[in-house]
This record gives sequence, structure tokens and C-alpha cells, in this order.
Amino acid sequence: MNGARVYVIDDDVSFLSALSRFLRVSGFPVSVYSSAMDFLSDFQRTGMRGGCVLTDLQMPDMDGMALQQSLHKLGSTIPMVFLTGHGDIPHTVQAMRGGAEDFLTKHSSKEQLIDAVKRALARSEEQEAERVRQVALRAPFALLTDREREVLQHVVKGELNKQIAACLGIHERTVKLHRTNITTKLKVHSVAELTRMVQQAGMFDSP
Amino acid sequence: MGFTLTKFFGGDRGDLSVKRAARQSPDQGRGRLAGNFARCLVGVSLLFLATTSILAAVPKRVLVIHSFGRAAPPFTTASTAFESTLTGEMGEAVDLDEVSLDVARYASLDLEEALVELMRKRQARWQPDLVVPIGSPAGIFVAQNRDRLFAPSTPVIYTGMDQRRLPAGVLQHNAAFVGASYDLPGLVEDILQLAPATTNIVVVIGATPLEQFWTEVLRQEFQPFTNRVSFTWFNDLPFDQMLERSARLPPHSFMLLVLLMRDAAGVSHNADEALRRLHEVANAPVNGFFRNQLGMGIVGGRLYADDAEGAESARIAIRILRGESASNFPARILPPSPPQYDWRELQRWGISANRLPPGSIVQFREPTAWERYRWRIIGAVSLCLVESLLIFILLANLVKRRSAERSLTESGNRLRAILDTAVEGIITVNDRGVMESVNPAAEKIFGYSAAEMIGQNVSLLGPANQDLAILLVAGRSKLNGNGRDVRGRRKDGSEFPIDLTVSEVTLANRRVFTGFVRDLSERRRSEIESRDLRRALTHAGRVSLLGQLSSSLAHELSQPLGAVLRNAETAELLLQDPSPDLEELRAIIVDIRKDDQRAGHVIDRLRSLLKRRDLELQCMEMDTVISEVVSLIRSDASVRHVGLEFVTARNVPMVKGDRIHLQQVMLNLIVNAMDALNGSLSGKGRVRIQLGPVLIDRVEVSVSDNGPGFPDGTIDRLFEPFFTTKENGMGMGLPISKAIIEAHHGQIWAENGPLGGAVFHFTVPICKNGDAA
Repeated sequence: MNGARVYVIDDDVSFLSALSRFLRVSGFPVSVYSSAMDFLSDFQRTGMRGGCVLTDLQMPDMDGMALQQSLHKLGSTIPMVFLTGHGDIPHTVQAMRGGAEDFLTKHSSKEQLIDAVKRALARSEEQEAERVRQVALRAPFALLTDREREVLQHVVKGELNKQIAACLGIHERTVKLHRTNITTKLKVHSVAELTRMVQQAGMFDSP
Repeated sequence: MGFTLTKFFGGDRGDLSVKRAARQSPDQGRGRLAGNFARCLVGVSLLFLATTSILAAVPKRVLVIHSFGRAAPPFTTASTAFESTLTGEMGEAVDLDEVSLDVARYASLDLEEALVELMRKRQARWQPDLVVPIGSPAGIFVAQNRDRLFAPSTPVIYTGMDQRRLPAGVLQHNAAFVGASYDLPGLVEDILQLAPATTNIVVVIGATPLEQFWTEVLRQEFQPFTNRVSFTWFNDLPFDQMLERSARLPPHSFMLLVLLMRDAAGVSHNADEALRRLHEVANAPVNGFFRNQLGMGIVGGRLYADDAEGAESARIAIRILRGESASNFPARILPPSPPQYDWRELQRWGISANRLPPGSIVQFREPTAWERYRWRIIGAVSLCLVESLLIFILLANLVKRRSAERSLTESGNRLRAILDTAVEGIITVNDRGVMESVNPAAEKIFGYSAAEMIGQNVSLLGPANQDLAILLVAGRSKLNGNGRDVRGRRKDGSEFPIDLTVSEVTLANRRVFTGFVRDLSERRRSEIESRDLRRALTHAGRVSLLGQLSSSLAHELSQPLGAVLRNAETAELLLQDPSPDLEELRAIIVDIRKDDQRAGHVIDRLRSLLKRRDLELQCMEMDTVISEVVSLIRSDASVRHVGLEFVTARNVPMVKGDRIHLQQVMLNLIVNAMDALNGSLSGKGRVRIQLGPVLIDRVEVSVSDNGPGFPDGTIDRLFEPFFTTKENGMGMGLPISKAIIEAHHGQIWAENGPLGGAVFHFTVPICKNGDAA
């Protein structure tokens, strides 16, 4: 379970130590933080990857919701499980909308807690696998020049060489030359194959 | 960039000795040529002198680089302090040279290049042992051209500037830094502290690049205040227009002179002179930024210690000149000095000393006539006294006899007047209990006329089972001087509680007893009723307050209970192991016990809040009282997205109060404030609780919010029962709070804050010596 760490955040030191002790004894690697700020600065410093966050909802300074928003802004999709002293419907809704993995009260049973953590870690693992797959799929595209990538973008939209040439302000012959280079470098034989490859790698998805 | 170049010797002795050394060599030669023994002797001794002076005084060379001219306050304050401390404390001669960039007049790159050229030529002949740029333009200039001007071994002390103005990394190479701490939002806070009604702050600042930089910084730093005060910026005005506008500022204005090196019309100014002229014409108080301005017309506050900065740089300079490495000195930021104020300005603008923060220093206090002429006054008064005394003794003898004759009848009349107007019934009886005199109040209390009572036995006025005569006469030993509730009987036969005080006088061997009677029936009934009602109401108020705090209470309890649960589960898991980790189990049990105690404390606290009880005044820390409330309510505040802030003055003495009741008041005010912010889910709602200021005999506490404040005409009615502005409010919270605070001999009042929002204040008396702790 390399990297599949549970980051536990709670401003209440005794609850934090009880919860982390329980998770540790249940077999999860655990890191503890007594404030969302501490976690966030560690997160930014180490660029941690994988794992999941188990955080108290109500904390002074930065609460669980604010942490979720900050992590979003940093582009992180780390799964988050929220804990609260009492079920609070508006908060639950808001957290779930923000992509919370789960929302538990502090008295949830151990099974519920373990299940939620396992689900979050599984999601995190999926995300990591997906990321690795994407990286692998995108690797061949690194061989292309900027111009070739530009041409490719038009090709997968199904445009004709003539249209591409007009759009980029180059000669049709040059477009053909670029296409040949692209298919050679990416080792594909048809436009269909090329399109599928681009889609799977998520090459031209909005960033 | 133009510049003025002057060179002078900071130490006169050093100057002389160097020149003497240079002059004496030819003298000595001439002495030898003449072959005159005496001259030779003189020559030899002069040679000796010359050698010693050369050895003793090769003065250290220090180059000071001014950002503006030499007479350009406030920068001059730092440089003057630097030079005088350096020459004063060095203990040997220092050769001080200086260069001025004069950026107020000449800021341009080609002039800067020309200056570098000139300095290169100068410094080829005169290499300084230390370079001290003062002010950030000079600092940046040195940082950028250091390699071209000075040897790498020449140390630099940067001072009189903000470290952030310097390019990164310049302090790493053989350089030291001395700055003073400052607080830009503090400039506004200080003004609002002095004059809370201020609505307009006029910022006076010039137009040099340095001042433009600070204008930007100030705009950002003052941004948070813009919803409470408007800022008028003078940075794009020529000085004469600044003067003109200062003379007719709207009411509730306050001026803030930050820097004025050059105005927007391009005219350079001496900031001290500018301050003097602004102060002359302004129709609003003026504040400044630098300590040297105190006494020139600014009111005062937390001021920038530019003089201390110069002196501290000089002390570091001395150590560097004596051989320590500049890199050994970490960047030194002088701590803030206590706020200082000009007494004359405080008087002029009618600012009460109560408004000054604790620890303030008030300067320029003008001595009162008493302070100034104390001994003369004492002398004159003593003389008068002695003379008067002599005259008085003579007169007294004369008057004594005559007045003795008069006084008998006079005191009789006076007594009569007192008796007739007293509220208490006064009855005198002889030693057999027969009434000898009664006053009108006694007639009113008992319903008999004086004629009906005098000559009768006093037992007439009491119920049958309680003989007033016995109480008054026979029972006097028990009663004497002590108030005690007994019962009286009116003419119509009705009985009622009275308060009876008895005193005994012996007149010419005859004992007379005087009874003072107060009717307790009306008073007592209303007293008992209102006490019961108050107790019930305060209790009801607390119960309903706690209802509103459900979220906090749930949080307070769920934390320890949740921890206990998790720990117990962990213990179960551990025990499944054939050889469980006993150390861990032991730690778990310790934790469980701790959390259980914690939950217990929460419940205890609740129970004490819920208990119906009377006021018990004790000496206690108000800080703790408030902290407990804040921690109780924090969770509710976070659910409502309201920021809670608790600030306390320093050294708040113990107060005399009832913890539970004061906490109820605090809870009520804080919950009210949070209610006022309701609906603002933006997270900008803030409730600020402030303990202080400390006044002579009491401590003030205030609770303020940044909500809409009170609508017009409601403030006066806030404390009336059943008056409420809330949809489902009872209108009892504030009347109860008022009753509680008044039972503490304190006061409670409300106002709209100077910066918007509602503010409640209340006072609690300070514990005196002898009050129970």
C-alpha cells in the first residue's frame, strides 16, 4: 500500500489520537494533523500523491469545507471523508456536491468508518492508475513538434488537408508532409486509429 | 540625479592630528639644517609627537549615503542619530564623508550613472571602511552599484528603510541591516482609537517614486478599513492646494502625514516644515508616522523609531569598524516602542486620556499653575493661614460666649425641622414606655394623630402578642442600635412588618428611648416579588440561550465521546491478538479516562448554567470568564460562518462578579450579535469581543459585530422588556442582561459602532483589597 496513506485532520487532539490509533491498529498507514493549514502546507511542500483525507468538519481558522475548496484550487482530487459532531444537512449537501467521498458522524460505527476509508483509498488508487495510464498514453505525443500537434488537432476534427492549410496559412503539401510525420511517429495507419489514440490519451481535452 | 558632495571630519581631533602629521616633516628638516641643538631637541620631540599621533589616529572612514538631501526629515533623524552616536561612542576619531542622491529633485538613470562615475573617482582616492546607505533609494543604489564602487571587503549597513525594498540576497554579502518595526494598519487603528467618530482620513504623501511605492502599499493596507472610513489621498496635489483643502475638511476628519519629499507639482519639501504649515491651517487633528514628528503638531500613536534606528546602526557600525564581520549581524528590526502622544494636541482636540491604550506615554504635558508655582502658593497660603489663625483665636473667644447662649434655641429648632421632615417614624418614650413625642411620619405610619399617641403606652402601636414597650425599654439590650423586623399595628387594627431601631439617651438622670420605625409592608412585598421574578427570568433566559447553543453543545460532547468510542474499539482489536500490546492498551485507558473527565466537565458546566441561583459576587479573572464562553460558542459561530475574535487589554485586574451570570450576559450579547449577522453566509460576519479598557474602578467589556447596526430610534428601547427586532425573539435577553449588570453595580449600554455594526458595552467593578477572592 505504498502512498495509500490516510491523512487524519482534527483540531481536537484527543479525538485525533484516538482515531489515528484506531486506523493504525486496523492496518492503515496514518499521518495526523491538528489543523487544515498544517496539512495544506505539507501537501503543497511534498506534492503528496495518493491516499485519502479524513477530516473534521468544524475546526477554527480553516474548516473542512474550506480545506476541500483549497485542495480543489490546487487541482487535487484526493478523496475526502468528512467527520462531524452532528449531522448537519446543509453541510452534508455542500460537501457531497464538492465531491466528498463520504460524510460520517463522530459516532459512526467502526465498520462504517473502515468502509468509508477503504472506499476512499480504492478511489484514490483508481485515480492514480488512471493518471499513470494517461501518462503512458500521452508519451508518444511528446515526439511531435508543436506544428505537428497543431495539425493533428485539425486532423482529428475531420478537416480536409485543404481546410487545414487555409486555416494555418501553409501550403497543402506541407500539411501532407506533417501528416506523414505524425503517422510515422505515432506508428498508426489510419485516421480512425489516430483519433482513437488521441481520445484515449485525452490529448485535447480542456485542461 | 544631481548631488551635493561635502566632506568633513566627524572627529576634530582626528582632523588636527592628521594635518599636524603632514605638516611636521619639513619643520623637522629645517631643524636639522640649522644645527641648533635646542631646535634639534624640539625637532626630535616633534618627531616623537608626530609618530605617536599617526599611530594613534588613522581615523576610520565611514561613507554615509543619503537618499535625499542632508536636511530632509524624517530621513535626517536617522542620519543625525547615526552620526552623533557614532562620533560620541566610538571613542576615537571617525572620518565621515557623505553623498546625497537627492532623489526628490533628480531621479534619473543617466544622473545615477554620472554619480557612479564621480564616486568611482572619489573612492579611488578615499576608500571607506564602511558604507551606510540611509533610506531605500540609497539602499537600492548601493545594492546595485556596490561592485563598481567599493572593494568586496567593504562592509555595508543598510538602514532607514524597509527590508523588502532591497533586491533579494543583498544582505548575504558582508552587509548588515537595521530597521524599525512599524504597523501600517496600526496608523488607522490609532486614529480610530483616539477619535472613534472619524469618518474621513486624509493621507498626505508626496509624489517621488518612493512615495508612489508607499502610496500603493498604503492603499492596500488600508483597504480593510474602507467600509468604515473614507480615505482622501493628497498624493496628486501641489502643496498649496493641500494647505487650502486642509483648512476646510469636513467634520470628523483626521489627517495623516506619511511622507512629503516632493509634491505633485514637482516642488521639494522639508517634511517637518510641511508638517508645521499643515498643522497651522488644518481644521482637523494631524497624525504622523515618525517619532521625530512628535512635538511638531502630531497627536501621536505607535510611531516609527527613526532616531533609535540611527543610533542602533551606529552601535553596529562601531563594532564592525572595530573588526567584527558585518555578516555576523542578523537583520535587526527594532521592536515597537510604546505609543506616545503629545499632551497639547490631545487637549486641543478634546481627546480624553481614557482613550489612550494602556502603556501610553504622554509628552509635552504643560505644568498646571499648581505644578509650576507650587512652593510660592504653599508659602503664601501658609502665611495667610498663620495670620488668620491668630485673628480667629481672638475672635473665637469673643464669639464663644454669645453663641453658647443662642445655640440652645437654635439646635432645638433644627432638631424639630429634622424630625418633622424625616421619612422614618420617630417616637420617644420614657422608661415606662409612655410616648413623649412623635413626628409626622409616625402619625402617617400608624394612622394616629400625635395627640392620640402622646401620653399613651407605646404598646398601643403593636399587636397584642408583641409588646412594643418591652421591645423598646425592657428588651433594649437586645435591640439597641440594631435594625430588626418586628410587627406594628395601625389605628384600623391591621398589622404590618416594621423595621425598628432603638437608641437610648440619658438626659439629666432620666432615660429616654428613641424608636426609629420604617414601614416595610409595601417595600418588602415588591422586593420579594421582583427578586423571585428576576431569578426566574434569568434562569429562563439561560435555558433558552442554551437551547440556541445546541450545535456547540453537541460538538463539545461528541468530541470526547467519539474519542472514547474509537479508543474502546481499538482496545477490542488489540485484545484479539494473542499477545496484545500492553503499552498501547495502557495508553488507551489513560486517554479514555481523560476524555470521560472532559465530558463530565462539559456536563458540570451545563448544570451550573441551568441551576437556578442567586448572585454571588466573587473576585475572578474576567479573561477566563470570557474565554469559557468563547470556547463554548465557537462551534455555533463556525456553523453560522461567523468569525469570533477575542482581544484583551494587558494586565486586566480581577473583577468582582458572578461567573455564571456574567457568562449569561456574554452569551446573550454574542448570540444577539450572531443573529444580527444571520443570512450573511458569505463568511464575512465577524463578532469581536474586547476586554478593556481598564478604567479607574471598573473594566469595560464590549461585543461588536459588523452587521447592519441598530435602526434609527431603536437604541433607546433595546433594554425595554418585550422589545425585540427579531422575528421570534422574546425581547427578554437584554432586560435580563441589564438587570444582571446592574446587580453587579455596573452599567450596560449600546451604540452603533464608529465603523458600522452594533456595539454593546458593559462595565464590571474591579476587585478592591479586602473583597473575597
